[in-house]
Amino acid sequence: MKRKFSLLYILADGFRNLRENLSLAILSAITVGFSLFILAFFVMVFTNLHSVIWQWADRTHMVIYIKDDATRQAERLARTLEKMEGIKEVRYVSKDEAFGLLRKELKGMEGVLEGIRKEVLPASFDVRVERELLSPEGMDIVASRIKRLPWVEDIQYGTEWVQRFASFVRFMEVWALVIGAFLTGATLFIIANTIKLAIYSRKEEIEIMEYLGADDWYIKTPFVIEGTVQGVCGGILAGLLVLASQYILSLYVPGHFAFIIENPFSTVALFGGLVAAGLVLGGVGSLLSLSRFLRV
Amino acid sequence: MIQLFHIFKTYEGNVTALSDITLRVEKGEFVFVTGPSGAGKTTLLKIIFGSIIPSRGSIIIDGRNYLKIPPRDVPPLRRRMGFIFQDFKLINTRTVFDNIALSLKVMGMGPAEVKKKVWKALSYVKLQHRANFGPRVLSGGEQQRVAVARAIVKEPAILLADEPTGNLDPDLALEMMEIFKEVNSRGTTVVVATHDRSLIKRMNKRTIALEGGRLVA
Ligand SMILES: Nc1ncnc2c1ncn2[C@@H]1O[C@H](COP(=O)(O)OP(=O)(O)OP(=O)(O)O)[C@@H](O)[C@H]1O
Ligand SMILES: [Mg+2]
Repeated sequence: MKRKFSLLYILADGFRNLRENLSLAILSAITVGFSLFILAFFVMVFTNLHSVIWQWADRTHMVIYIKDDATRQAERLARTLEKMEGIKEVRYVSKDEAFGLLRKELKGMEGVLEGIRKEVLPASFDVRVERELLSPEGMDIVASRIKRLPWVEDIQYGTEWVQRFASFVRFMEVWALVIGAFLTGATLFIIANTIKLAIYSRKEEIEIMEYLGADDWYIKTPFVIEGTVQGVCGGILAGLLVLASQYILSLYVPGHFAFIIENPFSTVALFGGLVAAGLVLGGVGSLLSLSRFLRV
Repeated sequence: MIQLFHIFKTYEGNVTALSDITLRVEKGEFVFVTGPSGAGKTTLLKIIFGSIIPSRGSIIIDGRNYLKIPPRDVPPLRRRMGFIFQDFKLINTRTVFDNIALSLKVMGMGPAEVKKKVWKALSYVKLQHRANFGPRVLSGGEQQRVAVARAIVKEPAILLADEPTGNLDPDLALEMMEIFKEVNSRGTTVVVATHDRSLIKRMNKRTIALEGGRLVA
């Protein structure tokens, strides 16, 4: 017997199921939507916090003082530094600039500087290290490599603040992981149960189809279509909820905290991600729930 | 050809439904299975259908060891069998027409052919005027005839009918038997479980009698 019509029947079944169980289907989609919304909101807040903290951390730098006789070749030295592993950015601070900075810092007490020639202050390189090395150990490694260069007079950097920063980030990441895992688990649990309920309500129908000799995929596919459509609707709903909550919160959150609820991804990426998550959760969820019901 | 060898079936709670059943039904034969309530008729039919696994014994259908068939091959076998359940097993959320059509759709038959065959089956059981009703609003006898139509519409190789006349008046019961006879004359093996002795007498076919799960002569 030709099977070319099966696809037609399966699609028709999937959409008929949706129509017939509309209230349950809508309920499932809403459940998926809210679960994904909570998860997405958490990811958003965490991503924002994370990037703000890193922006802050990126200000950490090392100051490399240069021996006076090497000052003339500053440009070449800068290039040497830039090529070194672990170094992100190099900025040259000339003797002039150093003097200017010092004068600015001593505003109102310029008298102290009287009689001091600007050549007294050494030129230096302001160096930022890569994020992976933003820890006391990492900075020590970079510093020891730099110290080996013959033209380096001295290196200054504070490890205390980096130490505190690193442990704070680790603390935050561990908690984010714990909360994220919990939320993901809860989302999966809720979605799996919603789908199971929908399938359970049609247990007899599934049994009868088995008796009539319907193939496994013939029985399963309409449910998977149903689950997928629900998941996609849930994903769209979650995206709308994120946008709505951002708008509502923006009315109440003071300006300097507003970054917390800013969308770190583009709207397209937000919806794309949520719809994809809903699609996978709905599709895979219904497949998994079905496999427990079907004998064959 | 259906062959059963020393079939035993014990349900949970140590209820013995069948013990030591050995029998053989030829291809194209028409047989009755009879016996008092609880004798094991339904159990026997469902074992032949493959929805109940016997506790012991073996079954050979068309030369294949029935109990060793991989799950993947079960649906194609089911499509060659028609089962009229004692409790009908109709899908209440679908119309009479769709219930019958489903049995053809699972084979991948085209919509035009499905429509033609379903209407023909409906006319056999005299239910054309109920095609678009849900099973729930039908009388017991009407539901039973839908179940009959669903089983015969696919022209099965084996038709298993469990008490197919239980809810029918004597005239309709006889008409059903005529339908089975016609199906049988086109080559279908027919096994009918019933405790309606008068019906069996009129039909004059081989009868397998069960009592307390055992074959009686
Ligand atoms: N799922 C089950 N679990 C336990 N016992 C069962 C089960 N199904 C049937 N039985 C028992 O097995 C015996 C045979 O049942 P079966 O349904 O085969 O009888 P039957 O001949 O079809 O009866 P009837 O004429 O009333 O339909 C009965 O005693 C019944 O109570
Ligand atoms: Mg019975």
